[in-house]
Amino acid sequence: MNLETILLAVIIGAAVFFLLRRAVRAFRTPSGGCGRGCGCSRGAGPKGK
Amino acid sequence: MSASASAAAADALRVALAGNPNCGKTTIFNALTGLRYKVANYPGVTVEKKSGTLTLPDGTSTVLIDLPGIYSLSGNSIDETIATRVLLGHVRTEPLPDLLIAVIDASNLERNLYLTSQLIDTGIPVIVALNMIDVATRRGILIRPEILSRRLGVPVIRLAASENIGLDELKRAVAGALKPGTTATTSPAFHWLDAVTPYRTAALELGEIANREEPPAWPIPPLLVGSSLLSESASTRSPAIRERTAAVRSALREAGIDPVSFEATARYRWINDIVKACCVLESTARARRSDRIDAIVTHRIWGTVIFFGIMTLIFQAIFLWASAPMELIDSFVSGLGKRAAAIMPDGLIESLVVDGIIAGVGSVLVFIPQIAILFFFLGILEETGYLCRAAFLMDRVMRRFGLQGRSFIPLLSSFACAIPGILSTRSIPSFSDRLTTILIAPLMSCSARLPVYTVLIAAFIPDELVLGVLSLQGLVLLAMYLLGIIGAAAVSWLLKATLLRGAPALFVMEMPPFRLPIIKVILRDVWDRIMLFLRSAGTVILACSIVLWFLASFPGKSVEESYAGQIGHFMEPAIKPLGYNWEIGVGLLASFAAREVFVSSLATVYNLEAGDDAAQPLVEALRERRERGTFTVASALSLMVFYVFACQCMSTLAVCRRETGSWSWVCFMFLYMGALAWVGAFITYRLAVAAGL
Repeated sequence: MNLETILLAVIIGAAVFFLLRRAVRAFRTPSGGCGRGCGCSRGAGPKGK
Repeated sequence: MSASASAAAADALRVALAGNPNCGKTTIFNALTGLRYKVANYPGVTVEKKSGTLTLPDGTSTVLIDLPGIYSLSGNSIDETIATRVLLGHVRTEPLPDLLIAVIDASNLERNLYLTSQLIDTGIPVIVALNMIDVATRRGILIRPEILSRRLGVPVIRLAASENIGLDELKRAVAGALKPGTTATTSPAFHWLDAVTPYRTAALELGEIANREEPPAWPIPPLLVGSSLLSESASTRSPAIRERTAAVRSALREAGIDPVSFEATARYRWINDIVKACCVLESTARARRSDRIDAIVTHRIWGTVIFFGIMTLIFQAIFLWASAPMELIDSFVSGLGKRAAAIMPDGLIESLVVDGIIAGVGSVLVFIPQIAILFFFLGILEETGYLCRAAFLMDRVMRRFGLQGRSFIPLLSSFACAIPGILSTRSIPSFSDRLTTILIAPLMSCSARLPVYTVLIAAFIPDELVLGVLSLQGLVLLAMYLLGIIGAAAVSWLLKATLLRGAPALFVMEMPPFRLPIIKVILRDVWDRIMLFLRSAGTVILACSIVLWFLASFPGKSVEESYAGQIGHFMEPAIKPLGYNWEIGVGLLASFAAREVFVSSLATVYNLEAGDDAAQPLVEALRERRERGTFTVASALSLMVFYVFACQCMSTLAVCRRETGSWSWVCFMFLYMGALAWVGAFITYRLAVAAGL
């Protein structure tokens, strides 16, 4: 297995992991945060300083 | 958070902002904490508790809590209950605040003082923040804070939070009130009962019992108010308090006095005296001008004409004004693709960067100007106070479909994103009205659909004028938004006639005064939206582009034979009747992660098929296919209709689950919207084919 293949596997693995984690978090985020990190007024929004 | 940090947070003094809706609580909260929560000129923007850190002049930190607006301590919608429970110490995990900042709209003193008098009765130290003093002065209302302070028995600070006036003074007042030894709750004096001595004696006696039996859990307004929330509080009190409360209530009833109406009458009598003593009305000219504008914009015919005129203007502007900056971004992205292709050696990594990442993410970035224009106009409508007039206007129409005007604001918020829209349904007290609004909110075209609509419109709808002035492309875009609204009205009517029967509740909404928009607030909102879009492009869309590139590149040979091609072909029997081929099927499936991903998916698939070194703009690739006949105008129209109705947003489903507390309604929403999308797209395709498109 060459370096290019390993690099691709890591990038694609990270992308898949990110999408799956996001899907799970969306349904787990407790009330008060929409889980989208969208900064909308009633969503997760910016956190306290 | 570390254990010591948690302990420090638990020990920190707590200051809560409370007041009527639309009196500027969140503006003060943002100014004091440095946070950037959404503010707008209509009631009901804040529907849940938010907290931040307030650093006082002496360097100490306190927790500042922003609560949803309430008119009294007896409201019964979800957002009102959230505020009341915090103020009365009914939340187990939330200690009673050490200090309340009662925010008052200075231009509407009388109504705002009702809640303030109830807040003073809680026994928690209160500072009155007399906000919007600039607006009151412009309207000819002069208030003497020293008299107000003397009559209320609490400090009064003059503020114009949007202009940063009076904030330092407020901080100093908070620091003074929070000095050790000054924060203990005290028995309220019930000044508003001065005129009714026997009743006041009873109230004071009850307060003393409460202090003795359950110190320092003071809040005793349950004695006077009959809401279910406060009755619940009364039932958890000690037997001595319950007995005395019942005795006072029955004595009042025997005397022919209803405890609830008695409270309102007595408080307002007291408030009127205060207003007469501290307030001078110099002129009513400005108020008359606002009334004259209202008479036109809420007029049954003229108001409707103005409303549709404004909407048409917005969608025309989205196409006409955005074209030049979009071309700039487009040429930047394709230049970047060419440069990357020239620098990198041929191979899989080069293909991933050029065909996957640059083509995918770049195709979405092009839409930033259109999103900025949409939010700029929405910001102006929010800030001026026009949106409430539109809600009033729509109430008549919405009642025919079983909805009330109160649903208008959540539905309007959904044009930006369905998530804040669904959350803002908390201000709707009726369960069936609230559920109906939640279920139809995702039918409003959110900003994530905008890239899909505009890329298809730019590629398939001719850039020509209708009636010599209106852009055909802008009109088609407007039609997509209207289709969502019509679909929502039809679904609402059906739901209210079947599953969620019940007459819509009476709509009572406060009309905020018209005011000039604060450009700083609007631009900040537009900036936040652009940043959100960029964040989405740099995370979800980037990840989807990478995964899709892999699926479309392996196992070698051609894209059609790749994993993505196989998935697309597998979907074909279901999507062929709608006029879609396997390539569109891949985009449709990928866009369940986020709707914008449709655009990046199509760009990636087309670029891999082209096999060129540089990323080709998606609109050009689509036009090529239109000329070849592999992607027709009928398919494009059908696809747009599919996106109007389909529920392709995981976050929306998640927030629906949280707000309804039920998976059944989530499944219902997903399935009914999917069915509506398929049928709508099928009918559109057949009609378009029959019309020769």
